[in-house]
Amino acid sequence: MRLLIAIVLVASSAHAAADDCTGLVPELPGGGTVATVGDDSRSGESCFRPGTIDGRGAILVFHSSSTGEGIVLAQGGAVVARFPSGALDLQAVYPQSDGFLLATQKIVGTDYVATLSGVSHDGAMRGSTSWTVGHAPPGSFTLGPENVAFLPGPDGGVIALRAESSSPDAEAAWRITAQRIDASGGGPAPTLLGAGPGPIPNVSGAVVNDGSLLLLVPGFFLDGFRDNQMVGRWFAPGLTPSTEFFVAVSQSIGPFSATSLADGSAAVRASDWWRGRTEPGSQSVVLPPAWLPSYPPALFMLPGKRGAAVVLERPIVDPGDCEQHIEVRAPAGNLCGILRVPMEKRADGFCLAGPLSVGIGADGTLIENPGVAGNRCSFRFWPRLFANP
Amino acid sequence: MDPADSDPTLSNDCDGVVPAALPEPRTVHQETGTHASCISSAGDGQGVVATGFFGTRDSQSSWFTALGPDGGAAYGIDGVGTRDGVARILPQEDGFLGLELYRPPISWRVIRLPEGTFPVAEDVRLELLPDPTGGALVVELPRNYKQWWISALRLDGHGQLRTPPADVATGAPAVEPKATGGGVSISGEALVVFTGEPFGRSDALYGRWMDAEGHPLTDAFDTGMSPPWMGTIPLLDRSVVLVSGDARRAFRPGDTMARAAPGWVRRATGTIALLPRSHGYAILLPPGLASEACRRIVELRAPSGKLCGGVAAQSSANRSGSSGYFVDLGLDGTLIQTVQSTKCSFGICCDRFIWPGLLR
Repeated sequence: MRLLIAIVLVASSAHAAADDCTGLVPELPGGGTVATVGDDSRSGESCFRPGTIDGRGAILVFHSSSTGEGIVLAQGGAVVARFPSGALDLQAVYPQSDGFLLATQKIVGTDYVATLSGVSHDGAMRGSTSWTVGHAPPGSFTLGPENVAFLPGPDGGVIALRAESSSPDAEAAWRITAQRIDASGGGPAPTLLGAGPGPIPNVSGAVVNDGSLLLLVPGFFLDGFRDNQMVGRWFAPGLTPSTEFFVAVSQSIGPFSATSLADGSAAVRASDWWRGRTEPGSQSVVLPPAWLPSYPPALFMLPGKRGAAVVLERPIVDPGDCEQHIEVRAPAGNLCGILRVPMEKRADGFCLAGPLSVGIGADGTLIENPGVAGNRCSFRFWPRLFANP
Repeated sequence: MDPADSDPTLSNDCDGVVPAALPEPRTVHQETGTHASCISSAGDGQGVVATGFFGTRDSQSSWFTALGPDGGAAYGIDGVGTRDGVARILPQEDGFLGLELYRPPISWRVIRLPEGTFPVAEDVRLELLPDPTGGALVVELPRNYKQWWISALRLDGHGQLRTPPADVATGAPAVEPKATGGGVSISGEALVVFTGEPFGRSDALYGRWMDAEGHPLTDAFDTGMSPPWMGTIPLLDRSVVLVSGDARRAFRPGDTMARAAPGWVRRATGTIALLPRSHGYAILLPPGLASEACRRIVELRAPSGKLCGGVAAQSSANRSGSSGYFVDLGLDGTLIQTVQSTKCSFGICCDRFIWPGLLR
């Protein structure tokens, strides 16, 4: 009987963890710290993509000025590194425990080349891996093909998902591979996930908490499936299949993606709507959590997979309280509280709140994006605000 | 004259079909820009009338102002797709189902109005078709790299899936049907139609009956008619009339052989609509010029098809300078007459004459 009670207690405790709000909602201390990497009141100078922060609190900002475009790293309020990068080349930034992985795509000769580069918190370039992902017809300048996707891992690194021709005849057959890239920008050889006849598919997916990979492929490219179905397949952390291909979303033909959730599952999005939630190793798809934001970049996972934060919609120009509201949710999805972040009012009395007005870094740092004193190259932040207690 | 018109056994068939009196209509004057025109309206089962406009510049979308039973604007409906200038909006007991062109030209998707745009069905090729039992029949043509399917699914009036997609036909890309369509009987069976490329007969219209749960009732069959398919008419004897050019043939659920459509159905030049509670038929004057507006705008027939009478246009609707004309019937029997005119202060004006519940 004593043994039985012990088991029940453990089970109860495990259940409680998923909806545990303890320590999840921080109090906002003081006015935060300010980092200034430039001055956008100067002619030709501006800052983009603010608010990407690594596990050591280094802030990565895309900065352009009359002397060129580049990436600026700041830490503790001071600029620690600057290096050049083309504005159109940079596709995404994946924060790591130390530094960042920068995803770029550019045309080299007549090819689209995708690259993941590892940069440390102080700006030192560690290494990179590149893939030729498609042919660029003469005159091409826009984004390249969609047959490559970078999926951030739960413990750092990125899985580079790639669909390519497996035959000299590009229309005859395809294969999909996955390659783990760590914070250094390098990694082991790719693993084959699947192959089949027909044209090369576009791919997407997500890596969830336990390291499992959800691969998403439009049904158009798979025997037995259809173009208005989004087809999924789970792979175990070792990249061996743990399910068959299954319909993850039906009645949808638009853009598709997936994101990992704090409870270890993945939410699937298609045609601009969240359409379902699925768990590793399962082919069943259930309704997605209703609290997922309609604007995906407004969703942040908290450090240590302890929960999620949703930056709420606010009036774009808010003459009212000028606060940004952030919902904090436990892994089970229950609401733990709302953090209210005061935003700076502009001279005309309005403030710029909204889903893009704040960001949360991999280390739990909260950063405001509109700028300080009207300078969009100056950022207010609260280091490690959402970090583990 | 139809046999039903002179059949003495049908002497009571017209009881209650023709309204005793034609009250003064509610009139709504709407103005829009010069790059728009008035289009048909739709009325739901609660007396809400969605009055339509059509952007003549992009010719792919329309918008509606929904008027509540009190005549005031209830809500706006934007982004409903159009094909051939006709808005794809289906009235329901409460609200509407619409067809939205999503990220042109990616796909069409069915949305519930006015609540939002959650897509309940989506495909590159998709038809949203009325269901007299409520909801809608959706006929879509999904594909993959080596195959296509025609599949049919049923939605309820709230846009929820009533039956999942059921396959009607499939084949290789080289024999993909150029056109699809269909209609639903008053007892819920669906006749899905498609051009005969899969059978080597692009000059033929094929059909297949599916029951209300989405199970096939027949194999695919040659309807004996030629493309283009132009619509279906559900009749109160449960048959569905296929319309192709001047040809109209009736099919009973499960039948693969056509019957002759009743003479009044064959001769009708306007839209044949069911009256509320299966009380008979209304034949609505087809869209046209206002010079026709002095004519009877609705012909009313009993369930047997017997001619019972009609409704004539209001004299106030017969404006000079009118350039377009529509007559529509809401699910609750509300009659809506639209007259488009260029004689207004700003661009195009649409005058709507609304008789709430007149043909209930």
